[in-house]
Parts: sequence; structure tokens; C-alpha cells
Amino acid sequence: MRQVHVMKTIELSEKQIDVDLMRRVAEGDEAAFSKLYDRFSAPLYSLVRQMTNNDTEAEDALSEGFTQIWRRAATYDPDRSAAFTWAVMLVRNKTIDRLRVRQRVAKVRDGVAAQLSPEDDVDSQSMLAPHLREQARRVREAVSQLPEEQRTPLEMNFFDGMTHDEIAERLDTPLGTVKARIRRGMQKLRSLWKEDQ
Amino acid sequence: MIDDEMLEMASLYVLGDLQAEQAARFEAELLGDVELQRVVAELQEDFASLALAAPMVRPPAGLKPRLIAQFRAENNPTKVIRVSFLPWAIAAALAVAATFFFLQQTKLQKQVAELQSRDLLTQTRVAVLQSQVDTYASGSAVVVWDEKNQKGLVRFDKLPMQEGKDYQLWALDPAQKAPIDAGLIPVVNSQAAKFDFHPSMHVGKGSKFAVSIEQKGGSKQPSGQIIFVGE
Repeated sequence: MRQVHVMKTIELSEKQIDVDLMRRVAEGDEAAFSKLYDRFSAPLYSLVRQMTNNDTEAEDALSEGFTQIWRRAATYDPDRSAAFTWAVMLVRNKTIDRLRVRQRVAKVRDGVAAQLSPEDDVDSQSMLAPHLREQARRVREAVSQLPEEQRTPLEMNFFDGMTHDEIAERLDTPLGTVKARIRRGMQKLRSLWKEDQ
Repeated sequence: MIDDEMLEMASLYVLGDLQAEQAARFEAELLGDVELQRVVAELQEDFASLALAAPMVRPPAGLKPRLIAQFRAENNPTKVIRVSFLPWAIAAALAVAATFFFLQQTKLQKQVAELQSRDLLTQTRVAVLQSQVDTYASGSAVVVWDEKNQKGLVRFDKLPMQEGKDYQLWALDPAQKAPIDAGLIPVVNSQAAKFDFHPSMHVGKGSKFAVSIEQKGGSKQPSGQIIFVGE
């Protein structure tokens, strides 16, 4: 119990560090940007690499993502989201735009589900800031416990940027069912994370 | 208390699966509802956490210093010109140009705001496109789209001419599998371009617009660098 409390305290203070870095980045502080890059670049690159399935495209997407973070840091509101959440949503949306222009949405899908693994090796974990390391462990464990029928459409939505309509067509499943499975998947993830905390 | 319908809307909003009009209505609702803001924040945090399920890959070495050098160059464009009369003259000219550009931008923003306010009454939509590459970061692009009549007007500032290449406009309709060709952009000089366009197919609601650099004469599908995207 005490260990859980300590972990929560560390997580909160690490999130506060992210918020402070974002504030300094908004003021044009290069040193703060450098630190923020060190904390976020591995998970953000892993995300865009997963989404694009292409090293060059992923590097371009990451570069564009951090350029947007630098330029739009002043619009970040710590009362509305964690800095990492904000960065993920921004980078993901930009990458979806890229994929759509390239017509690659839904084409990069094949085999992606099999690539998501419940665990990473020690070297991979060391790429993450401490608070994200623990969060990643919880997320992977929770995702691995999702039923396939919920996990697949959720991953198609998140990593491929596919709309519900596109997922329904790809999986040959009624739209309402796809929506319900994605929503239930999200609810189940939340309950699993809470159980784990 | 958030009802089931609003919870469903919040989920769809976070998952990015609301049509543009629905999203705008939801955002208006969100502004005045603290409880709804909390729910959306929680959903976003859950959703964004999925990024951590991707296998960890080390980012390319050298990207960070390149980015910082780029930001530094953007922030201090006159830093290297310290001696002789000519650089000062260039700096002064740049300052005048920047002021002019700022005023133009402000004017453009006012026009956009006016047009956006008219949106409430008409079928016209205004899309401000964001640059996707640094070369075009100082440029601006605005699309005014008349959905009912399926025609639009696009205006670009600071669009350099490309030897042997053409700029091509695309409409990205979520209901279509492929981007829709909206025509080549005629650049007469490097400062600005403005033209009317009629996409080759029907463009549905919630569509985005993009500009790519293509071979002379254009392409059937975007194959070159994407320089602007927006909705």
C-alpha cells in the first residue's frame, strides 16, 4: 500500500515537471525543450513508427510533431490534460493527416495487432521517463487482457486513425457493433488500470 | 450529471469520430460544462495512454539538435548579420516586410473571422491550412469552401515557385478512400496565389484540404511532399 502511494506521488511530481517544462518551452527555452524531448521522444516516436510502419515517414512525423509542440506550447492548458496526453493527441492527429494524404490509412494495418507486445525488454523500458515506464507497464497489461473483438477495433482506431465506418467495413461488422466494442474496450481499459493502481 | 448520450458524444469526440459540425457543437457544449470537461480529460488521458502500448523504438539520433538549430534559426533570423551596411539594410527591409506580412496576416485573420461568423448562416466553410514542412512555415493558406455549390476559393501567401513542379490541391473526404483532386495552383509570382477550384468529385462534410508538390501537370493521387493540411 505504501509502495503504491509512493508511486502515485512520484507520478504526480513527474507530471508537474512536464507541466513546468511545457511552460518554459512556451517561453522559447531551448534547454527545457531539450529535456522535454528526452522525456517524450521515445514514446512519441514509437507511436508514429507504429502508425506509419515506415522509418522515414516516422522521423518526419516526429520532427513535425516536436515542431508543433515548440510552436504551440503556449496553447497547452495544464488544467485540461497532462502534458504527455496533449503531446500524444497533437502528434497522433498530425500523423493521421499525413496518412490520409498518403492514402495509407488502413493499408498499414496488416499485422499491426501482432506487433503490440505486452512487455518490452529492459533497454526499451529505459527509454521512458520513470512515470511513463510504470504507466506503460499498466497499459500493456490492460491491453493484453482485452478481448480480441474489443482490442482490434480500438487499435485500428488509435494507431491507424481509421474511422468507425472504415473499421466496420474492414472487419465486415455492423457500425453499431464496432462503436459499442470500442467504447466497451475503453471502459474496460479504465477499469483494469484502476484495478492495477 | 452527464447523461449517456453526452457520454457517447464525449467518447466519439475523443476518438475523433465526430463530423466537423457535431464536433463544433460538442465543443460549444464543452466550454460551459466543467463536469463534461473533466470527463473528456479523463477519456483523453485513457486514449492517449494507448500510445505506450506500442513497442518502444529509439528515436533517430541527431533529430534533437537539428530541431533546436531550426528553432534557433527561426527565432534569430538576423543573428549572423552584424557587420557592414548591407546586412542592416536587409534587416531593415525584412522588418518592413515582416510588419507588412503581420498586417496582412491580421487582415487575413479578420477576414477569416468574418467568414467564419457568416458560416452560421451559409454553407460556406473556411479552412486555415497549417504548414507541414519548415520551408513553408512562414506561409499561409486559406480555403473558403462552399459545400452546397461544391466550389471553393484558395489563397496562399509566400508560395515559392518550384522549377519543373506544380502545387496541387486535394480534398480529403473521410467518406472517400482516396484524396480528391481539386486542381493545380497557379503561382504567378512567389508572393501569393489565389484561384477558384471545383474538385473532380463530390466533397462531403468534414473534409480537410491539403496541398502537395507534384510533377509538372499534377498527379492523379498525391505522391510528392505534403506542404499544407487543414480543415
